[in-house]
Amino acid sequence: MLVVTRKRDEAIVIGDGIEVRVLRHGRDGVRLGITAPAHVAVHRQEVYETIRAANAAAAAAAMHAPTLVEHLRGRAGKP
Amino acid sequence: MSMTVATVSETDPTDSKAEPLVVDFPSGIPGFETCHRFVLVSSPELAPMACLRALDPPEASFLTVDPRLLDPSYDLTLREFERARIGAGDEPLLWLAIVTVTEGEASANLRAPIVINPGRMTGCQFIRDEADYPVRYPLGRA
Repeated sequence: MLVVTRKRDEAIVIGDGIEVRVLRHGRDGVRLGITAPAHVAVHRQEVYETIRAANAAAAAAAMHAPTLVEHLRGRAGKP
Repeated sequence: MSMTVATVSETDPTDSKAEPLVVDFPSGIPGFETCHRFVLVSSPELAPMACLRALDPPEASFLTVDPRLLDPSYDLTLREFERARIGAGDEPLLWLAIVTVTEGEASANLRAPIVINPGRMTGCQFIRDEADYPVRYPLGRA
């Protein structure tokens, strides 16, 4: 892991077009500003991991299709 | 390329044996980053859901549903850079929420919808960081 010290308003550049800038730091955390090309997705790690896990569970659950279909039909029929 | 276009235009949409169109997911989806080509399969047996199936290994399948069916006020707006990722301007897009079952509880992921641009046949799973839509929107017991 590359470790660098940055002060407020200083940045690091990653590859072609990705910039991570320290906007503010304090006791509660560090506020970062990230600039990246449109095709690069930027996410908070814990949120990304949650979605990864949800997708894996959904792929496994696709085998329950018939039960799910019955359930959703019941729901869609409600006013 | 012209061969592909000709094949598509000659396909009768009412022919159930027709090959479904392939949607390109340039980044895959979280956890399935190697899956770039998907087909969306609808059938009377699955309705109101549709099956989003990866053509690339591990060939994962996902049951999906229109999020507006679950929450009529579901926000269908993307930020400009998100629309750019699927090559979209102002045209209407296809929104899908992934359905899952864990421990007998069915739920839909309203936090990370799949959005497909039908004009470009390009899709992406977006994560709504600011929105308070749940990852597990309950559908009740399956």
